[in-house]
Amino acid sequence: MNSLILIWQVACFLAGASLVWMLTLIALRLIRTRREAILQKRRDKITDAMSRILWDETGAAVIDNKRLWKSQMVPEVFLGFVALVRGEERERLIDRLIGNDVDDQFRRLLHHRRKSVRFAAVEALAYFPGLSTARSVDALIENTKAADIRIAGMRTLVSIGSYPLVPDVMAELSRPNASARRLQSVLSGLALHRLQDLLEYLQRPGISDTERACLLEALGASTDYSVLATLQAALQDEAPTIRAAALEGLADLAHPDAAPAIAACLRDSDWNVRAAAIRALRESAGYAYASEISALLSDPVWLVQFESAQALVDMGAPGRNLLESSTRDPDESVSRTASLALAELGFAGERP
Amino acid sequence: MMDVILTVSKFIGLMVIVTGVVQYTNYFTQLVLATIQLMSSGKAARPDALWRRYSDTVPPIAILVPAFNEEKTIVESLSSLMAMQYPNYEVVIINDGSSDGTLDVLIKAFGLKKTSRLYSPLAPHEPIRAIYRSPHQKRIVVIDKANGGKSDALNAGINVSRAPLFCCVDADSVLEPDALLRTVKPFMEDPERTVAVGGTVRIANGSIIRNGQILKVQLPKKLLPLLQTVEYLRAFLMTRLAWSQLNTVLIISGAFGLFRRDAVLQVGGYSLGTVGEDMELVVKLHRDLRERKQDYRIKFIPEPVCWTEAPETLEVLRNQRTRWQRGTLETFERHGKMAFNPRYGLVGVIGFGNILISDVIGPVVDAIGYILFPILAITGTLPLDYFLAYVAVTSGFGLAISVGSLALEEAQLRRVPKASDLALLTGICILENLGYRQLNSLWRIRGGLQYLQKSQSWGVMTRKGFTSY
Repeated sequence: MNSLILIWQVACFLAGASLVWMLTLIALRLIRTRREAILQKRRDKITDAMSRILWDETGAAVIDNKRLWKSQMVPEVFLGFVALVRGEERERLIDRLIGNDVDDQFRRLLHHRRKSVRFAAVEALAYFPGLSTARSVDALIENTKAADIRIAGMRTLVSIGSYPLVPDVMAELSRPNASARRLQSVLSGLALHRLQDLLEYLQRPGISDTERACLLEALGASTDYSVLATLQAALQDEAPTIRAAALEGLADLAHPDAAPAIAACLRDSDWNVRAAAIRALRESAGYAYASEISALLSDPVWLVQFESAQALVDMGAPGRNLLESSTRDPDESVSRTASLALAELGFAGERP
Repeated sequence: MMDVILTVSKFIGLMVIVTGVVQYTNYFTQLVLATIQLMSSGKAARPDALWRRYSDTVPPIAILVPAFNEEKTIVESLSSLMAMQYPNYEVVIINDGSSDGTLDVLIKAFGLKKTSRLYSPLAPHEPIRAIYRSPHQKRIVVIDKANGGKSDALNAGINVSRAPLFCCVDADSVLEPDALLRTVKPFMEDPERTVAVGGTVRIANGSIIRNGQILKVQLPKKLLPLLQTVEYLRAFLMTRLAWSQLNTVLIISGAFGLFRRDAVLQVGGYSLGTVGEDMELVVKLHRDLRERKQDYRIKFIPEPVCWTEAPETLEVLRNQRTRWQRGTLETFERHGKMAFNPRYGLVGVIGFGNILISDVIGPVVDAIGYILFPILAITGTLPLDYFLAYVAVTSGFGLAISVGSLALEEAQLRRVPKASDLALLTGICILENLGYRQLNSLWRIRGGLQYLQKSQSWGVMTRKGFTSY
């Protein structure tokens, strides 16, 4: 066959096939629009039932409609609803849902074929603590390939007081699509309740800098001053990310004993570390190191200059007075930074 | 003599057809790659779920909005940006020496007061005249500077902003409230390697917009924006999604993109004196990161949406398209050493190969076809098989690609409001082959000629303003 005719025939076939595909999709859209309307009605019914539990208590037939609570949309609707209520009302809602075996249903939905349903179910189970929830979520974490669902599972475990093992959490960091920032809340929870496990893991030989930085930052959430020595030792580390993470941890702890070690970091060669040191010192030492901090108004990096000015302002009147006196500093860079910072922070007009 | 002319004409015609087949093989490959990518990414999460999952851990973002003579749309744009669902962001408007009342309307609408701000001039730009902030809206920063062009304005914004990520947004665009939460996801999942992420830009003409918010999505009522709706679908859903899979995205639209500030400053910010600054920056990032042998990702994700006003007159559209073509050719020339150079991996082979086929050779060959084939047909010297093959490459394959992109959108994203709109857009896919596509090729030739004359003009871009729809 002539190849030019073949080109024509292939083009006709592809154009025709795409049009048929499109027409099919248009027909499916018509069906889907109706289905969406039905789903929206069901969503409204679930919301109505939850509202009745809280504010009406009438219509037990609606509240106790077992079929309604079996819908795969319940976790998603529940999460939206529960975010709006607190205290006794939230407890009443959850008790009544447990009475209707909604938590059992959520645990079953962890095996649903659709990821979005599994995701919502594991997040919703954070409100239904207990051994069976812990077991189901553990199994989900072990079996799922989706990193975001595993992390959501770990967050749920922390919420219900069934803490995941530190090595399991840290293993997430080495997997593709791991989010250190999302894991930080899990690690902070572990620092509060499983501090010893965290410290043991930190001593392991061969752990990566990323792992160490995450752990050191999490130690700050422990509210346990026994970790001060560990954090201060990390300030001597070669890697700036480790030093900065240790300073973040120290800032959270805000213990005055750490102030001299933190102040030494104001002269660090890395500007990220200097900026973190200013923040940590502001939390730990109040006005005590104000003159050292004001010296950084002439730092070559503008962010450090700004952190320094911000810290002085946050110290209250004495710090602000120091900043104002710096506007008359013979060093042009210091006086300019001080006046710009004061103007930016809304305390004085900019120097001409 | 006649035989020689006929033989030469047939040879040239054959070249036109072969080039067309190569172009469309390229497009069909993109369509397949985009389909795989969309099917593997699954259904997008609802906005409330995104907020629940990410709001406590997302990094701060600075939204940079360069504005030049945008007095009609700037207040609405800023209002829309103030309503973003994102926990930690600031909006930096850069008034690039506007000669209209852009700065005045901003001062009046948001009660701006002159202030100062510490920053380092790391990327080059024209002098900043003043910085303004709103006492009531702490997120707003307005920079008033001497005119220097879009790149220059963005550089000023990058310098003055403080967040580790910045998002460039056109002043005539409207971001969906959850757009930042969706766009930041790759930075959350792969923070070390991700340096830039682009989202989808869609046509806002016809939709109901009030106070910078999209109230009701509707298709444009006029033909020209409708044709562009199909074109944008093809460009974003097919081409960028496909190249994203291979980490060879060469353009993140200047209307909406999220970048890592330190990576952009590493390459000196936006290059000045270019009309295709968005593409040039992305290519520059690829080049720098490849030369430094860094593992990195530049991604496109289809879910976050930015709505933009499309030109409604042929003259404005022509100016836009010729400018785009000049920008592409300029970047191709400036970074020509990357083309087919193994040092730059797939970016050099696929990215630059695609520009060569679609933007350098393509318009010239198309134009030859538009002139040659009608002459041959009129003189009755065109064999039928040549004619049919030519129709196939100018219309048949094009129709399949456009409808395929629309089908992909419907199968995975479903953002076209109604079934009747889908039917209308399918009709537009057919219609665009009857004149619009040809017109576009001619504009690109014009852009090529302007590029050769080294023209730096942006042309006139008139705005109606969203409220007038």
